[in-house]
Amino acid sequence: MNYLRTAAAKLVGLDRRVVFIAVFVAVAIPFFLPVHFTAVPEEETIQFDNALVQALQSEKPILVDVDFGPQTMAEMEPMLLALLHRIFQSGHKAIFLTFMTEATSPIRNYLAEMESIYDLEYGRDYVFLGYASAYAYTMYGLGNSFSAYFHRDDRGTPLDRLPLMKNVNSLRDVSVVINIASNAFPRFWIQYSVTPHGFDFLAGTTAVGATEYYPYLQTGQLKGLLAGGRGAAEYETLLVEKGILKGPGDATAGLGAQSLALFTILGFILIGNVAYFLNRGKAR
Amino acid sequence: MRDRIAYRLPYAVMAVLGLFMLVQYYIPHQVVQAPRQMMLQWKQPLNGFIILLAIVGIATVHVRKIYRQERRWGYSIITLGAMAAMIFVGFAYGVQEGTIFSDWFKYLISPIEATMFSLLAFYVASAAFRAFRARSASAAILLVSATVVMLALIPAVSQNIPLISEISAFILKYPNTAAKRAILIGVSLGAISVALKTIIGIDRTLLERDGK
Repeated sequence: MNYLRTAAAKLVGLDRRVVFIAVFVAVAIPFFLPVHFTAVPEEETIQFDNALVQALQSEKPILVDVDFGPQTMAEMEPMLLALLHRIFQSGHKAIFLTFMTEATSPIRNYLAEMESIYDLEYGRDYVFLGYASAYAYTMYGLGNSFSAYFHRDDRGTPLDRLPLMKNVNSLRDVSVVINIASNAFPRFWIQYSVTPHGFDFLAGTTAVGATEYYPYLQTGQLKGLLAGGRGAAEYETLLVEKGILKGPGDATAGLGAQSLALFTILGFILIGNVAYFLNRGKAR
Repeated sequence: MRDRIAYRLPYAVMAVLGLFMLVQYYIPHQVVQAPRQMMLQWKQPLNGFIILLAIVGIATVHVRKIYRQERRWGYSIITLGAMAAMIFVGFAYGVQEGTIFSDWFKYLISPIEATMFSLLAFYVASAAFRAFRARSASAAILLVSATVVMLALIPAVSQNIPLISEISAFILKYPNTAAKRAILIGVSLGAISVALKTIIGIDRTLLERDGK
């Protein structure tokens, strides 16, 4: 027993570099060893796709607000790509915008990729409105007018010269608004725009931020939620089952690293608590 | 007399505009909605001035640091140099794809931001090991809840032990929703009271310095 307590005392004071190395090894293993996981779609993910299917049946375009930067790209990019495949494979039209300057360049690249895969025509099949400042005011104001907030698109073309924007004057003219964001913007959309204007709203967030949106799911202000890398992997599974994706994407591939990292963190929490209790007994 | 006007005018502007934005929400008539729409559009050019203020603020702080040769003043030179370089290439060559600005953004800023964020995983693991302990009953409840939610995120666990997934879904849907809603209502009531105090003019700390 004394041996255990001495070990516990040592563990309590474990050098944090040991923790860092353990996390690094856990994250790195799946890159070298084939560790395959699949995510079974949960209720929120299925709700997300059901709401999107309803929107895809409408003639109106979909509005997608993309708000994530390089920091959260590993988690958010696969989610956005799965969504883009879902929209464009069905032949639907979409309008994109962002409230984050650092998101503009990646969005251009994603859309260029989709353009080559699905043979899309800019201005007719999709439009990127670019960056808008003053997010809360713009979210609220789009309920009345697009042209008041975006005079030109990201390429500098006036909105009235874009065929897709001809019949889009306000948020009433889009079938659904989707916000893929690593920050609190889905909450602002709900508070500033969904509530006063009343339209269907879907969100994809980081795993850390997802817990914030469960109250809105319950009230119906949010019709569906993709929660972090796991939510993205679930969506990839769903789209593979529906034949939209040929195979799982980066979110599913990342499940290995994510799972091992979580196991490692849980292991350290367990060790920390065991050591704490053994040490407490020694102190008494 | 001039001092009194100078003191009261900002509060009068705040009161009028604040009350207007409050009232417009309930009056859909064009007489109210047209000026509202115009005021919403003011925010975008105003944002430009806010960015300008931020640039002046950063420049002032770092120039002062360099001038006084305060601790780590060398980093201030790098900060100012990087800021000036980005502003220059942005104005000189544009910000579209393929420009120097875009390349610097893609190959310098993006990897730096991604690296900084990736480090969080290491610090979270270290912090969880040191601080996440069942020191009390409430800490034990938090620990068990977090462990269940984390376990449910691991496909190997959630697919083989469905109960973990069910408990995690219950935690997220009920206790989490209740707590989040309570916080949300509390914060909203607080925001309403602060806004009303500012509009009515009870809260005067906004424009006062050292109580004057």
